Amino acid sequence: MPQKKNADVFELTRAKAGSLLGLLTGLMSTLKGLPSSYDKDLQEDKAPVFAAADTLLMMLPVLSGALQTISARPERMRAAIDSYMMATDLADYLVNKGLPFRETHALAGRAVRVALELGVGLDGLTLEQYQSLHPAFEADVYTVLDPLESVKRRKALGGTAPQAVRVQIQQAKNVLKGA
Amino acid sequence: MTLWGGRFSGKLDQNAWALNTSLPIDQRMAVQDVDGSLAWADAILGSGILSPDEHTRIITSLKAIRQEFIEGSFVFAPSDEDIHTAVERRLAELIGAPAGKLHTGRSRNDQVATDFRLWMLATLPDVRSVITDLQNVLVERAELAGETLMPGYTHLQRAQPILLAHWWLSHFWPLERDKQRLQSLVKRVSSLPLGSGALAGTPVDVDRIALADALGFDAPAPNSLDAVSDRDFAAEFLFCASMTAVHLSKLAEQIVLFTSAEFGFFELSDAFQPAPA
Repeated sequence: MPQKKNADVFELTRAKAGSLLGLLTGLMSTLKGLPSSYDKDLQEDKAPVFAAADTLLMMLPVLSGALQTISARPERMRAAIDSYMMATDLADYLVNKGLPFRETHALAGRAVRVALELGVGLDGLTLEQYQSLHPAFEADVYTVLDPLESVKRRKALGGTAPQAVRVQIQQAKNVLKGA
Repeated sequence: MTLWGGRFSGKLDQNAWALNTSLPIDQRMAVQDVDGSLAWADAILGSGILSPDEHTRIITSLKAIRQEFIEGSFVFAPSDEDIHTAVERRLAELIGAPAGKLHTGRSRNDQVATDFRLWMLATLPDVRSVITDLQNVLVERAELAGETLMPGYTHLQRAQPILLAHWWLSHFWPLERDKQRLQSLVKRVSSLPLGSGALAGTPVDVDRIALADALGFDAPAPNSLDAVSDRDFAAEFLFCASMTAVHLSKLAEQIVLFTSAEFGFFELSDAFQPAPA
């Protein structure tokens, strides 16, 4: 089919994991049941180890090349983010207004249900509609529905906020320097 | 005529020979086999089994054989059953009878386990190195991604927005653990079987600590019965390799998904995309 672009390299990478698991299982099965000291069965130890090493030594450079040259399409990624994904942020927003998380989690869920019933996103609900769910909602509610703002709030170590990711990149570089 | 045929009078069935021979596999450890023999020749010198002259000739010729393997000029004989007999046969061609003294106090059981471990010790850094190369690409991609946003998934359902950089790095750390596993394996590979004989130990008075040192091992294996059969390191390596492959599979599965038209998050370059079938 001429229109197709198949990710063969990645499909084969996926498949090789199965083959390698087979090699591990094979050797473990050979070792199981042997007494101590040498038995000729042990001659079967090398082929799987060589094959596993060869597979990794071949596969990893191909993956490196493929990932180095793959193009990201940020506009497609951005388009796949919908406002419902900020439902947790909505709950956190109400927590910051002093409500307990258990309650805000339920309120965010109700906001999602109302929005879905009306056929709009969370950013499509009016302030009145939000306030009919709970009076703690105010005009600043819409700022929490911005995905970049959502990401920026997750700034504790290991989180996805740009400042946390910068730290992570530095950590990664540090371990590589040690390699 | 094989080197070990003394007990037998009949000829081995051809298929039985084919089943028994390990040369096609273990010839990959040729250099390690010679290195083990070079160290063994030194180890048994002090016991008086070899004269200084015999020792010199063995060492010189083993080095020449090692060179033959490196250059690819070594010629295997049909009677070579495994890499050890191939080396000893060649040594006999070069220096005659003294070649037969080299194997004193040693067995193919401790010899092959030593070769295999030497091979493993030489190969582990190569595996770590190709993993590091991929890690470098992942960090590079993370840096290039800047503040690009993408959906994060749980249960393969849209969950929360994340940075593309964060996603790239989520595949970095598993590989770091893989490398740590391979590194921690080194000390268990580094236990020397040589000097264990066939199973009960060697009757030759050799300094196994010096032998371990000469071959780059941490220490001699403490029990000869265990030493000739310990393949934990091979199984562990296969686990490490499998774990890495599972990590790569996870990454690959996401790329397969993300390059589909439905997602369209990535586009493959032509260089890594065979023509469609």
